Amino acid sequence: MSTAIIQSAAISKQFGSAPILNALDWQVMPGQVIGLLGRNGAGKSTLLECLLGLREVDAGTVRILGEDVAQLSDATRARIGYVPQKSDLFEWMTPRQMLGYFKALYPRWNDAKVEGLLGRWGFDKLMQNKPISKLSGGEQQRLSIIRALAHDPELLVLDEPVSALDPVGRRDFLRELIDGVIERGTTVVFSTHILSDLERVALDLAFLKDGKIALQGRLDELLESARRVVGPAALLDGKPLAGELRRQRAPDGTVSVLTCGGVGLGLPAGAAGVRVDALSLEDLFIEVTQ
Amino acid sequence: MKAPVHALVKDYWLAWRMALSSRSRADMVILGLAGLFALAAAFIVMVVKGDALFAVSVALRAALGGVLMGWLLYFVPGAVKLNAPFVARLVPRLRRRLIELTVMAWVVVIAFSTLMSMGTKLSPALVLLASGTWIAAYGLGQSGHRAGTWMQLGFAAVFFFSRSLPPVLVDGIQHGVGFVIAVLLMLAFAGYALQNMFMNGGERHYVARQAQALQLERSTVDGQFRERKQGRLDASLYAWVLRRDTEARHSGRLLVHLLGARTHWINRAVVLAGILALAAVALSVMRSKAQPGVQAMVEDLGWLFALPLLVGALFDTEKRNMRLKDTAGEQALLRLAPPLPAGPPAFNRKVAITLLRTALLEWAMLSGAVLCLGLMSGASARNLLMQACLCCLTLPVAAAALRDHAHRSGLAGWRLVLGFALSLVASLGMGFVLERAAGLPLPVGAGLVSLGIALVLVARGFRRAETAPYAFPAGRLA
Amino acid sequence: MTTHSAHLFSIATGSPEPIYRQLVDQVKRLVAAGQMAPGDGMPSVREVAQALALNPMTVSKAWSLLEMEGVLARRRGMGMEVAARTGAAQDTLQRAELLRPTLERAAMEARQLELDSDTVVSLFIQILKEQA
Repeated sequence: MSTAIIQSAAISKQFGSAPILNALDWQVMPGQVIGLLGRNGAGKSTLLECLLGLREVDAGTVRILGEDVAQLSDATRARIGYVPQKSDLFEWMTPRQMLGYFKALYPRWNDAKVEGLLGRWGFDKLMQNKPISKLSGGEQQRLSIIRALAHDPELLVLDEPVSALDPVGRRDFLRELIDGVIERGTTVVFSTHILSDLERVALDLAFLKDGKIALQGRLDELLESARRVVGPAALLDGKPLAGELRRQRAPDGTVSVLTCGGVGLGLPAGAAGVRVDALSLEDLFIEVTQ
Repeated sequence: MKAPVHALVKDYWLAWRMALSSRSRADMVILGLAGLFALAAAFIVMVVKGDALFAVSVALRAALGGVLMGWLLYFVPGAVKLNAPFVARLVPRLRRRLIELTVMAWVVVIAFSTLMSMGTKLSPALVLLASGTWIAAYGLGQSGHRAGTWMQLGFAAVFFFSRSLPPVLVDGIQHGVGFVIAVLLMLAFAGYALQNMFMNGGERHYVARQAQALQLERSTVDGQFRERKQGRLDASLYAWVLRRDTEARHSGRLLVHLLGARTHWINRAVVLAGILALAAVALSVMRSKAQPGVQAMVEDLGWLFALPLLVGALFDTEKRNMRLKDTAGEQALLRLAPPLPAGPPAFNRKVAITLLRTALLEWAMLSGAVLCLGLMSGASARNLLMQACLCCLTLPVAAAALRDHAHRSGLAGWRLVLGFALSLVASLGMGFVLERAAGLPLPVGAGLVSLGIALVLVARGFRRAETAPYAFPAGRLA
Repeated sequence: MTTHSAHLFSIATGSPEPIYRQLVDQVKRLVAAGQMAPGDGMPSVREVAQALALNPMTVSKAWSLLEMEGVLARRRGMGMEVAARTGAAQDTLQRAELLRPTLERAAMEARQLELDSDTVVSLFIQILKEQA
């Protein structure tokens, strides 16, 4: 069994009196492409920052490539790429200056890749010499991604990297991710609200809810095994179903149960008034995170 | 007829509240300041004159003046900000009310100041014209219009050089036809100002919004230190320094770039060089032309003009602290960059050394400039020594760059000033004691004590850096 | 013997069906319809992943599944090709399996309408006769 590239055990974090992360355990294996999902404000950014050691956790340990995140060695840091949510960093510099600045900070820098991406993603000479504050939100995000990819990292952490990109920009980003990143076996952890992108590219999912990873697994398996059973309360009340995750009562008296992995629901087959729905990723998101 | 009046008053009250809401607790501040002002004025009058009635009337006038000042400082920018293009087009009534409120307040201020000036030596006519024009210029300036700032500057110039204005002109505009013409001109200018402050949609309005936003940002405390567009020279100089540092791959120097383009010491160097050049020219001109009496005065007291430069040390530290607070994202990226040391003690030490080096460099530049100015104005050795000691007094401020950055991003605002004041008091006090005890001249003693304070602060800062958590991103554990 | 381009396939996100399953079903339908003949070359995993912006592992999973079910065969050298048909009976069975999802949906609706199987089957036979 290969060791996890990110290993976090029982991490907790509180802001004031509100717990954001609550004894959370999470492992990311090498080569995984995992999407982190959660409601706005659930703490996805906080979790990613804690995993990278940018925030101190109140309890628990986080290790990246076997090293404690509070003491990452130079070599390990050179293998990590990070795209933060705020994309207009170093806004007083021009793209050229900013990329040159980071080139001076990293031992390995793929000039060919940078030039290629700048060319393909619409950065002409004029734009390369304009201060970053003058670029649009989408251009800033694209630049941020280029900066993170430029040193060929083994671990790529992305915090809502494409929130400001139009569909063409997102498609370009996915293509680059598939070609230049996943093909090389990079581990990718990213949080996003754009579920269609996740479905295309991510193989694993993790849902963050109430400070814990509420549901985790391979995307294909989750979609195939997650079901929503809806029926009258008379039939479903007090009857736990196999693989049940959540149960909810609607105002008109019907009960809706979310199950995952429970084949053979223990109901009389085709019981009248009982409906079993397959869920799309969006439905699953809504059900799990409510 | 009561209903429409009632609705009108309600409208005005609503517009007033809306305009003030853009600045937090504006009404509290205005009332508080006005109250303080009134109380202080009454107190002074009581102490000086002992006339209770007069004190009360002065207090009332001071209070009214304070409230009017509050209007100037808070309402006008707020109203201008409120008048966005879509508001002007979709809610024209709000715009009308804002304009009416502004005009009413303008009239009230003019009337108030004119009445106040009736008993004094100032000519009421002049006061009327001056206040009306100045307030219009202020309003225009607050809405980002260039002409406003120029008018205010021009106003100050006219005021300072009023002696040299031809008396015929000054007399003419106070009476008769001249006065009427002057008033008409003032009204025209006020109308122009009003039109530019409260535009009515359209392309020009959108263009003006940008200037207004800039102006508004500049008027807040935070906005003072935010990155703004650099001049050509500054930008190319910074680009040169950046290129040199990235080629050298020196992690310490690259760390300094974190603080942004405007706070980089290279800008300071350029400004100081400019000041020195100008001063050299001015002083040599004065040396050759002026009378010996003036020359001697310049030699003796010329160093006083260098004092504002020392205040620059405070400004520098404040700027640096604000930038540390604002650049949390950049700091996070640097934290993940390989060349910086791992582990909090080593990392903090590197940050501390770098920040201290920058602070000392800027202090050295400032002090060097002060001493150069002293030399150029031909000050004696004793004077130069005094200036050097004065420079030492500001050294603790530079040492304040070392802090537990994770918990706080540095002494900011009034705390910094307070710290500086304490250090000054301590230095002067100890210097006094030293003078009494050992006969050491006061400035030298005070300078040495400040040096000692700075060293203690630096030592404490480094000790704190060893035990504190990671300095970057700053202020996250606050 | 043609080599098909990756643009022959399309997937839809936001559906309850995982993407690899959509690919599998698509290939099966194309083979059954005759658009992909035995011996035709399949586009490589990388090409399909690039064209549809998918994770190559997903495509690889679909291709492996098809190989296991005998729809595709691994070519000597590199790549996959459409497998030769292994008998008419199996062919029919395979094609019948493709109809399963639609029939399952119909069966669910029939259950909701509380119809018995005989009524449903005779209705279906009637419709088939109408359309023949």
